[in-house]
Amino acid sequence: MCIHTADSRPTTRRQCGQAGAALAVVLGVTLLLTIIGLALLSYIFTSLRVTDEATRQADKSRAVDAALELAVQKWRFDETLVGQSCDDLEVSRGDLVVTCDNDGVPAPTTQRRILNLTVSDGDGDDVGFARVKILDESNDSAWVGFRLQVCDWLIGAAAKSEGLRGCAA
Amino acid sequence: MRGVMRTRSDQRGAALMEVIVAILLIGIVGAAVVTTTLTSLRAGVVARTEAQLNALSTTYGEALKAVSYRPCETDGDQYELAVSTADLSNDIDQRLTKLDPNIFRPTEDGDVKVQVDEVVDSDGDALSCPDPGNQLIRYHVTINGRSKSASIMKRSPVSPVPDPTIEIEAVQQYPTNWSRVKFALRLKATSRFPAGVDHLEWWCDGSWVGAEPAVETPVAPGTAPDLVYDTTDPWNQAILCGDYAAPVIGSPFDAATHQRIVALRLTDGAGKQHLLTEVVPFPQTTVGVDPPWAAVHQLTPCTVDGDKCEFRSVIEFDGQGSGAPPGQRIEECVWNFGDGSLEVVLHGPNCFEEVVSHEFLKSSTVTLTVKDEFGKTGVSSKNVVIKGPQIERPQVRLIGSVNTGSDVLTYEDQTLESLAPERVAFKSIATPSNAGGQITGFHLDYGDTSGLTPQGPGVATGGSRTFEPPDEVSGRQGHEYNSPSTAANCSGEVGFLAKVTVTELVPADVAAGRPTDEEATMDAVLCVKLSPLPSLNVGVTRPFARTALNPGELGTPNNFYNVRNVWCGLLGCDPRGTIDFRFEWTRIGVPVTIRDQDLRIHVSFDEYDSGGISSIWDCRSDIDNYKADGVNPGIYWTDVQVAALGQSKKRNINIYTGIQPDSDGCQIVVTLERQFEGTWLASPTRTVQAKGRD
Repeated sequence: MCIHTADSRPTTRRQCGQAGAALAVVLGVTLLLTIIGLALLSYIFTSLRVTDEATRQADKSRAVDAALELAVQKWRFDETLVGQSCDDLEVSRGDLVVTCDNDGVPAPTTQRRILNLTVSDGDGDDVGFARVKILDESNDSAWVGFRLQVCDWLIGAAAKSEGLRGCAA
Repeated sequence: MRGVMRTRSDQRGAALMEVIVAILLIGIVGAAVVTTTLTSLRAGVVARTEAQLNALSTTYGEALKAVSYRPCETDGDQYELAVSTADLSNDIDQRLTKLDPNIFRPTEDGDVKVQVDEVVDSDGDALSCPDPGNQLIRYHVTINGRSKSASIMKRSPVSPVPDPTIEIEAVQQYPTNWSRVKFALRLKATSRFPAGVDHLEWWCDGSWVGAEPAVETPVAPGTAPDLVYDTTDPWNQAILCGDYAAPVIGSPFDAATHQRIVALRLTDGAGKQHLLTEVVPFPQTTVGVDPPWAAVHQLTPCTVDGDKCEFRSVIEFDGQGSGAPPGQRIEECVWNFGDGSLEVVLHGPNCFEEVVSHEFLKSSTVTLTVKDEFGKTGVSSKNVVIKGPQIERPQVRLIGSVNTGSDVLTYEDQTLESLAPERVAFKSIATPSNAGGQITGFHLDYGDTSGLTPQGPGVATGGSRTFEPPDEVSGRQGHEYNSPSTAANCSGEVGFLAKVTVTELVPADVAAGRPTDEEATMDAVLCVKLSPLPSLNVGVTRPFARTALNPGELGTPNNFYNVRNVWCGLLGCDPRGTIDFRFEWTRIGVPVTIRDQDLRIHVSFDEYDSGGISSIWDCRSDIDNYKADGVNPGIYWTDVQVAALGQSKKRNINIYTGIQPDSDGCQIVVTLERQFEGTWLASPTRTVQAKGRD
């Protein structure tokens, strides 16, 4: 607070002006510090969120990969699938569901099968894709799942736009 | 003044308050900023650590997928224990060292640790090994005390090997005896081994029989070979189990006792063992129960008046269509042409395929009789109708006689077993069979190399005629029968000693449809079976002894090369001794006597008292002839006195006698003889290589 008198007005005017400047400086500094603090907080939250997201994505990628491996393993050695379409097949692992189709690939024979696998998450989003070729014979002798050839193996929702390739599709 | 002072004082107080407020504000905000900054730094560290954990766990997971698959393969182990997490961690460490250590192996940040926690079956259904499936590997990464757990699914590179298709085939055969089954096992042609075969073992009659697989197996895993299988030879690659007594149909049958439990233990190329067990029943055998069957097959067609034949047609036959049940074989075929002529006897499993021919003088019934090794016979007949005259063949007998000096032995219609030479007198008696018929001639054939073919009209004896060749012709001395003839009806190892062919002249008889004279012939034979060489087995049974001091001293029988130390005394000695050796022979029809023998043996002696050894092996022959009278066929031991082997002036000598094993050049020469008509007739010399008795 600044009190003005006739005698002291000049002096008082100068002192009061000085006191206001200090306050402004203080307020400025305070504002600056506040901005810096907020920026740091934002950085913290963002970093932690990004880290969590990265962790979640990594875990989910491994889960999708595992689901594909599980489905391939299961269908590779199932002798009832030799020469058969895989359209109705389904394997679940957690909230992930792996489905199969033979779209766009040669029809299955008793010698080889080409499977398209799609992994869907709990939200119904397609998050993994794979195409494998399974040879079911060796030297003209039946041998279920004798050899596995991975034609394509895509993890992540964005991979859907790339589409599956390989194995003479 | 006081007012001014108060005003100034108030101003100071306000300024102070401002300062305090400013300081307080700045302090608060500064503290907040500092706190925020510190928290940010700390959060940054955490975020960085988390990022590192993420990166490392991702890298670690990829590395786990890339390292070699460690299968759960120890049968029966707990799955979690079967795959070593420590080994896997070590694998990862080895792999990560190839990556940038500043990123993946941070050392400045302190404690960094990656470790596999657990390996389980991906489906969670395999609690114990073996399991070739995918594996769920759980692991964790630790950095600066912060850990992150993750898991990956590791793909199994192992393609489960399909089980082989194995079938066991029991091979059975009835080779020699109707009740014995030759029994073996082998894999059937449908057996396939996708992983190849490493080893086969058969369980066969109570024990495992190792059997190396055929050259074509084992093969590299991943191939699917057929077992080499020879359909033309059921015994190919068969593992012989042994003989088995097969039950014969009609005999008591207990199924449980007529079966065998067999097994096959196969280790395939993937190291997996397969065990197959089967019960192989042995069916009751029909071998030896059912007879063979015969069929008469006429090769020469008869076309007169349909299927009749001309008089004197020579017609060929064989026995095509004959056969025997499985496991049996035909051994003998006998052709009878139904007109009294000699039967034709053929031997061998294919005797029914041989062609025989016969001249027909009348309508006859041709009969083929086949006989198998069990004596079972099958008979088939066929009528041959002759158009025109019908005449019979004459009747004829051939008699052989041997004079032993004390007896006359006669032979007729039988096989004479003989050790040549023999001295046989022959007589043939023939009788005409047709009205007005006359025996016009005899013709003897000795069937040997002598070239002697005595013949003649014979002498009328009532209605018959008898032909007896002169003595000098009947003698068989010197005739060799080294190659038994298969002529006449003597076959196989049996040759004919003599064959007589008799001719009957049948006069013309127009009323009987015979406008001209005809001849009918008939044969008769005496067969001879040459005895095998006498079986001579020689062995020394008594060692030599000092002549003067203890002749005939018995020692330990020794049929092998023998050495004996002889004490000759101060004056020396003339060693001699006795050797027993054995003759064995089969009968030759008459008593026989060993007339002469020439024993050649190794003899030597060492006069080692002289300071040296002079071992002289020689084939000695200075042995007295020895004659054993009146011996009968059989096995005999005879003593042979060995003459002086030499004289020794030494006190102590070793004498070696006997038949040196595997000796060459030394032999035993034996001549057998028998008395005939008062004289000794010697057989050809039989020489037998000296051989120590087994």
